[in-house]
Amino acid sequence: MQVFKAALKAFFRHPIYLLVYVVWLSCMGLFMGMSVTDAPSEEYLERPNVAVINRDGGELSKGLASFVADNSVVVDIEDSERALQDAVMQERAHYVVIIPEGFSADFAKAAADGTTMPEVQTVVSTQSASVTMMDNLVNEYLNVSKTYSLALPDAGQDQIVKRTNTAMGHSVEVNVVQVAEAPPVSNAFLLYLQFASYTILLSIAVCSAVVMSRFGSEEISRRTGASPIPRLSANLQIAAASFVIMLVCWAFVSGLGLAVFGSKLVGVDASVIASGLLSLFVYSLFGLAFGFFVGQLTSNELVMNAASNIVGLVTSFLGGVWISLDLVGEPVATIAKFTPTYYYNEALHAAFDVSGGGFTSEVFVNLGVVCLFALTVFAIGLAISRIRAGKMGSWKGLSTKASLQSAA
Amino acid sequence: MHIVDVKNLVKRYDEKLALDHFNLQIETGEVFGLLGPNGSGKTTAINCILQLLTYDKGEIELFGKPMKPSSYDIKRRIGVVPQDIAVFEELTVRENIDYFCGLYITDSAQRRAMVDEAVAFVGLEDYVKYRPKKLSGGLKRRLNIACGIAHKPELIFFDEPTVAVDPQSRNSILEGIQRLNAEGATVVYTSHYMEEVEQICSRIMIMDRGESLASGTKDDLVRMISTGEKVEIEAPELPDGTLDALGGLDFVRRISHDGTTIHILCDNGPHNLANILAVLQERGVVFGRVYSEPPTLNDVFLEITGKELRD
Repeated sequence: MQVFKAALKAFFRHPIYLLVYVVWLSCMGLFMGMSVTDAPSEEYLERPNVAVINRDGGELSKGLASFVADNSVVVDIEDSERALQDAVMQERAHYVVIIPEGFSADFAKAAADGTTMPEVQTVVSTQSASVTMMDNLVNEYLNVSKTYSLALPDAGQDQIVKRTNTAMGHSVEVNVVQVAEAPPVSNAFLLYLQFASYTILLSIAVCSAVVMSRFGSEEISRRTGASPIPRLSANLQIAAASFVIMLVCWAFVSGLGLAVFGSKLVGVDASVIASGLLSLFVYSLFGLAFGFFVGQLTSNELVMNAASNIVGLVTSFLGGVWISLDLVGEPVATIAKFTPTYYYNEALHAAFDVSGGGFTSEVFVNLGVVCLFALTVFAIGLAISRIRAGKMGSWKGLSTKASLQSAA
Repeated sequence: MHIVDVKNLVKRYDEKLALDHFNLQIETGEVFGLLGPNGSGKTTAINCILQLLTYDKGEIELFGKPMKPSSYDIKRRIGVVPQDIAVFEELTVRENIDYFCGLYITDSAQRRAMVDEAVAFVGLEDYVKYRPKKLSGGLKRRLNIACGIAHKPELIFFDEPTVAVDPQSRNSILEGIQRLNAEGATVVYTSHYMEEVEQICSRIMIMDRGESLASGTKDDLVRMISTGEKVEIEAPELPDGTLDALGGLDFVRRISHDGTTIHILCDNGPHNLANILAVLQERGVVFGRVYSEPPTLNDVFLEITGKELRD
């Protein structure tokens, strides 16, 4: 166990890494978690800037323009092609409704004849939820008007507009009742575990890479190779020490999260919490594999830190830790699927799903993908290690040859 | 029985022949020197002997047994002091020695005593709690040695242990190696410093381009070459024809005068100096101090390879 003990000693002689990557980043995760509230949020849609170009002047078009004005911030824009283009390009108007000349009359005629209803022209400048909602409201207003026109063929257009305004003014009060047996997992804890992917990757990768690179250096490697310790035994001891490092980091991050957010998890099914922590554990294996990979690439600690930080930031971003993937473009979302953090987050969401989380098949499938990523990175690291050993002509390659000879 | 017996060892790095049918026999209790310029194959030979490198051909026996990568019983009896300093920056001096000693000795009580002894042997008592980065180059070298000898090996390989150390540390290291030998260890010492090898080695092998060019005691090697003593005579003024007369002596190989001193390189011979002085007296040359130096290993190397050892 000489190698194992020395590896752990080497690890604990880097307190700055423990302090910065394990303790400080965990605290950052705590603060981020604490910044979110678990109370139901009151959604508020900002009113979009809307321009109405009314070239008609009929009752229906006036009613529509008035309705739009009640539900948006109306901006005045000159009715010219250039002015409209400028307003849209400069985003002075997020949404433009152009009511063509004769629209009201055509509408009434189409309703009476049963022919196709005329349409208003719309231009969207900025795609957002409020603009989408505005567009829906305009369509809904015209549909309701159409319905009244068909249902009340003798009614004047002013009555149609009046009835439509009344109908569009109705709303329904909705109450959400939680019927699940157990309360859902706190959003704060979920966010903490999501952020932990960065903490875990960085801390485990850097700490294990430092240890592995020490023992993998040519000088130490040769000296150990000349000793009576079999190579396999030495490697297994280093691997065991790296695994302990991984456990220490995982246990600290998990324990801190449970200690701080424990009160918010009272009543939550234990299997749900356990599956969340299992997800973090499996992701830790990826951190370990990445540490091995980096340790084979370089023995320069600055490079190790830089590489781990960059990969940690990029994968956590692509995994949806910093920003929801719903808000990023399709290409970014597609690239995200090539990172283990994406599947870790999917596993977390599946584990904490209010409609039945815990150890579900979806959790295991996603964690399986994370394991595959870990295996792949480990295999690449192993290949690099073999190539380096071959270039050095060192005893690493020799031991393989020797074991083949003895096997033969 | 040879403690080290290497026969026809061939090692190639792609197209480059690093060891060309290399043979080496070392007796128990010797301090054996491998002397050669950088790149001559000394370290490659040691790494092959220790099974740290694969080799293309040859037989290696240590302690009378074939040496294989899995010969752990043999490895247990060997100590290695590599050319590069191989210690952990994270561990203290004592922890480093304990770690490497622990690869050979599992009993911690026994190891503790051995580590204490190794610390005292290399004179690092005042630095046991220091980390290597706080040590000077010479002290690091001493730590490197302590890590290789703490388990009291019977056969120790020192691979250029004095590279880049100050003269004081160098002397201390060389004395230490002689003490280890006096305590019963057989030592294999590689260097490209001729003076070191002359100082501590009982037998020497001269290597170049992966080949063993000559081996034996220093006297054996010197006898192998035709170059004899080097004579220097202070003589500021020389009558005309004196250098020609000296150059006419049949044992004189090369002669020159730098304005104050005559430099003469002779073949081996019993009365060279007397004959030279006789010529000078015949011609009435007034001369001062006379130096006569036997051939050195550098002369041996120069004659065998046609180049200086430190080229």
